[in-house]
Amino acid sequence: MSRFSLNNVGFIWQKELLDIVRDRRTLMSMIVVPLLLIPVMVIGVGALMASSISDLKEQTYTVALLGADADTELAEVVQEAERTQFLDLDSDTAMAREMIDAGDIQGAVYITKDGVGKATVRMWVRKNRETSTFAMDRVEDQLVAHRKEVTRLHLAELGEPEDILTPFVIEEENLASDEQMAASGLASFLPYMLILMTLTGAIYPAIDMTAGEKERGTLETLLASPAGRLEIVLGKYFAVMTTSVTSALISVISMMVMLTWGMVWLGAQMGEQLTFQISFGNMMIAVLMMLPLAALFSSLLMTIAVFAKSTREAQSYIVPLNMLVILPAMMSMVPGSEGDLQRAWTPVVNVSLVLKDILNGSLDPAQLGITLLSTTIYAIIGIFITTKVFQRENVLFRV
Amino acid sequence: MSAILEAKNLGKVFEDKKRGEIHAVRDLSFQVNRGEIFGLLGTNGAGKTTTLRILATILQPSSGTATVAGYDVIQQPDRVRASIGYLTGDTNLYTRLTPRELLTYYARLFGMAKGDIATKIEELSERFELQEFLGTKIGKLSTGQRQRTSICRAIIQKPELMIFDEPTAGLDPISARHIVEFIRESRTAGRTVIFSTHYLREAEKLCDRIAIVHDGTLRAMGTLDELLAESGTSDLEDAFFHFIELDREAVAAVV
Repeated sequence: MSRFSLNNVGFIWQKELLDIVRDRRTLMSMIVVPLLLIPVMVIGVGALMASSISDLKEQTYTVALLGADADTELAEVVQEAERTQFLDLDSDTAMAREMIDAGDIQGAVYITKDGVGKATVRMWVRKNRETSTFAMDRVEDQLVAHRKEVTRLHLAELGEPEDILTPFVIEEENLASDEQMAASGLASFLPYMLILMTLTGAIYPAIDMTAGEKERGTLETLLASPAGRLEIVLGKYFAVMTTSVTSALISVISMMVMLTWGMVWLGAQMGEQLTFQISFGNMMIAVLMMLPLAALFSSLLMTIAVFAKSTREAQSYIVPLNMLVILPAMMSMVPGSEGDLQRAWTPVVNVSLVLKDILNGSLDPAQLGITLLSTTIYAIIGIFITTKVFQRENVLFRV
Repeated sequence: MSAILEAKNLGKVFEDKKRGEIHAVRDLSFQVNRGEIFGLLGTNGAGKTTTLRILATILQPSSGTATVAGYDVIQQPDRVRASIGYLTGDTNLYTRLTPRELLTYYARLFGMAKGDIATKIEELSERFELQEFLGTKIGKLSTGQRQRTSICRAIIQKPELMIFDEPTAGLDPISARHIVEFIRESRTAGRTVIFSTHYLREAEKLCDRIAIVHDGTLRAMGTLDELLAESGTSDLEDAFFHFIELDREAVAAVV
């Protein structure tokens, strides 16, 4: 029987890491992508959206006016809407619809009167187009303001007080802090990104150290060295896990920097005050969550990749795993999704929901504990399977 | 002379979904003596690589036993691997490491002390003219320089037995020459080498004894003179085909 040497595990781990850090592709997936992707996705996309919304607010729209003759006074009020041009189409509804569909105009206002002289204003809007929604919102604001003014005048004529229409007041008080409000959107999105980065950081090294070594013919030489199979697989495994954890750590740091300073900058761009703080302790919990997950991903990736004869073959084997991880990782983005003790046993979903709760500041210790425990158990099972697969000749030397 | 390697009734069966059981090696017995250059000669698919992989403990035999330097390949694989230097012609090296890093890596796996590693690398780099590119990444080296690095890697721990699997296959003549010269030197230095080849001239020039394998079985074994005498031929090529033909005749007779 072979004697197990921790030294050999360490030597293999060191060599693999040296090999990895000299590979630009791994550096890209391990450092550059997690460092830049979260800020680019959140701040870049956020800034772009803020800029687009600002443009939409400033833009002048064209809206068709139909039936202006039915109520000329109302037609005049409608035409006072800000930054809106009106195109008088009489009552040609077909033409109006055609022009809206073609995008030549953003919407239409159709005024009709019933038998008792009451006016109805129909607003045609294409809600799948932001420009149409923005244009018709302006018209609606104008009409609502006018209706309020007419109502006030009527009440005054009748000698009734204005608040007769408001028998009681409804007041809503938002108990969420500014930070919690800012976090609510990010809490859905960031767990997905963190999980994805943890997986991405491990993919290339896992392929390179298994199928890549087989393809290059270096594995055979290593197998003929005094290092035992278990030492080899563990050395490689810890190297893959190191890259995965590094990738996760960089993602968390990048997320922290982005949340602390990036959000302030983004808020300034949007003319709003966006602040968000996450405690150091919560950040450490997030890092802690990623450790067993990185261990699980590393074992899964290595187990799959070692079956392949080439890196290309390994990449195709890993595509389904990507899908299996991406879908549960998206759990945090499902509206209303919250962690519970049952979900804490579901791999990847549990981490996604715990990270969401950490960001929302509503973490349940029991859920955290079970998530850590279950993911660690899955990782240990994964490592066990990986070591068993590495002992099989028909896997290492496929006929 | 004492035997450093003894293989007894070695057999290896691979399972293939399409082809069923593949008997790569059948009932193979031979021994290699200390200080001997021993050649396994056979065509592609004869079972040479599988045999050497079993002896290097990369594969486990399906049947039979083998000892290397007194250690059992199944019971003491780590001891066996610590006693051998293994090299194949199509072995590539870690291209992002330098020769110094590669040699240090393998030396550490062989349990060599730090001080000894540096000394050994200096010694080998001088012998194989590696000094100039010890710090250059292997990916930037020529084929010949890589091959010399490979030899250094295989002998870094001064192995008792060198196992070379088709060490010159696929190499250009200059790169192949480094290997051939090294094996020739090994004979002078009294080292033990077992190597497989399908190049008859290589076996003829280098080997003290040759084993001809075909379809996973041993067809003949002995010195060149013994093989020629047994086959009644005048050179190794004729002898080789004689033993292969014998096999075909034997199969035809059974069928």
